[in-house]
Amino acid sequence: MTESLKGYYAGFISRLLAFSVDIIILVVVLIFGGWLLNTVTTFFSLGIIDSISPVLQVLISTIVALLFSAGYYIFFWTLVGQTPGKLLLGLRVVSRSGRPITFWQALRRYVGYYLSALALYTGFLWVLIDNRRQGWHDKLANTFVVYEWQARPGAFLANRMKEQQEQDLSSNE
Amino acid sequence: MIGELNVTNPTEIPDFVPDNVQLEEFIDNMNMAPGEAESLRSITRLLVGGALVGWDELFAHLRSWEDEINASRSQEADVINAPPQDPAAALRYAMIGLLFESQDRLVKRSKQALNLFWRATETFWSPVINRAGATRQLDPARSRYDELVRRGETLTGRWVDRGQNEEARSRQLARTAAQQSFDTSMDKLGQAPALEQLIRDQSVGLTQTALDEARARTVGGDMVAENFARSILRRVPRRQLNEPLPSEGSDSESADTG
Repeated sequence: MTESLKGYYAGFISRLLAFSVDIIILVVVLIFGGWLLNTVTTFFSLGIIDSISPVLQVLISTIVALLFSAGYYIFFWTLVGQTPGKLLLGLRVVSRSGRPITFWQALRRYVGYYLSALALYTGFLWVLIDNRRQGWHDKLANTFVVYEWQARPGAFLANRMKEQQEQDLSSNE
Repeated sequence: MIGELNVTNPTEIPDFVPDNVQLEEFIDNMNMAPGEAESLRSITRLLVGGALVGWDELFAHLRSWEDEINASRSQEADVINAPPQDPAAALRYAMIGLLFESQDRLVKRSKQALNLFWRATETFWSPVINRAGATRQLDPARSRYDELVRRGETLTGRWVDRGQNEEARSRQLARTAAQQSFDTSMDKLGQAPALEQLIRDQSVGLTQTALDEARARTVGGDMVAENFARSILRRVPRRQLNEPLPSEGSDSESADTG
């Protein structure tokens, strides 16, 4: 088990951390973008935002945020194969052949995110018990998340796993 | 005062420049260019200031090092006090001990010798001087001597004043010179392409190592979390991961092309 895990399916914690990094990036960009837009319209006294009702403002903001996050994920998954968060954690989203996913796969995967979240995040937690470590969104888009780097567990865990394997072997004999 | 200065050798600088003498006038008498004289004085200040500041720094460091050693020595006292087994080592210790003993004795004896000298001088010369002081025939010589002492005191007082001013200025100059030399050296080092490359490589290497370490922990976390979830659901813990996917560029096509 101490050999490299590159190409193996990535687990829940790595994916959760990568997802968190992406969420942070998205939130920061959206907040900064909103602030910039507000500043520009106020500076030029355009009064566009003031003329829109608060409910509509929230609706437009939500649609813009959703479109932006969709663009962010689909762009990175299809063109690079990994979002900045996944890049940091050394993960890659691939299709069954090991190649980068297509636009439609990416779109399905993005929609799958909401489905996974709607069921009390069970779709995400599915990664913990699935043999190929796929969430519902992965199954929907037929995609996989794999380790992109020469992944190795820490020395303590590697030794522990080795001991367990030896115990299993001896009990089988 | 200018008139009294009879400078025969233009390169010879007197020990001090009197306060009431303007620099330009003095330099005219010395046949030196103003910049040259000022530079020479600055060098002297730098040397004096460097020596003073350097001494202060060295003394302060020595004291702190000694304190540090004294603190640690008390813990190792047993080891240090063990008698040496090797004769060569014993000889070496003896030589070192002799050196320190000699130094201590020299300081002590010098004080004793000086005290003895002053006492002897007082005992022997005091009656002679007292008797000479009472003799009227020696009045002209005595007045000349008093005049000499007065001039000497004035001269010494001036030296003290000047020394006080020059010391402060010299220290300031030395500190400024040291700071600027350090800044310049750092600037030069910072611009050296080889060093820049080295720092960049090391930073990248360090970042990569830290990142790999963090990633390794998440890989461990993946396995721990998975086994924890499986234990809650009473599933068999996973001992081995599923076979990996084919790497990018393999012949097999995606089953889902969207």
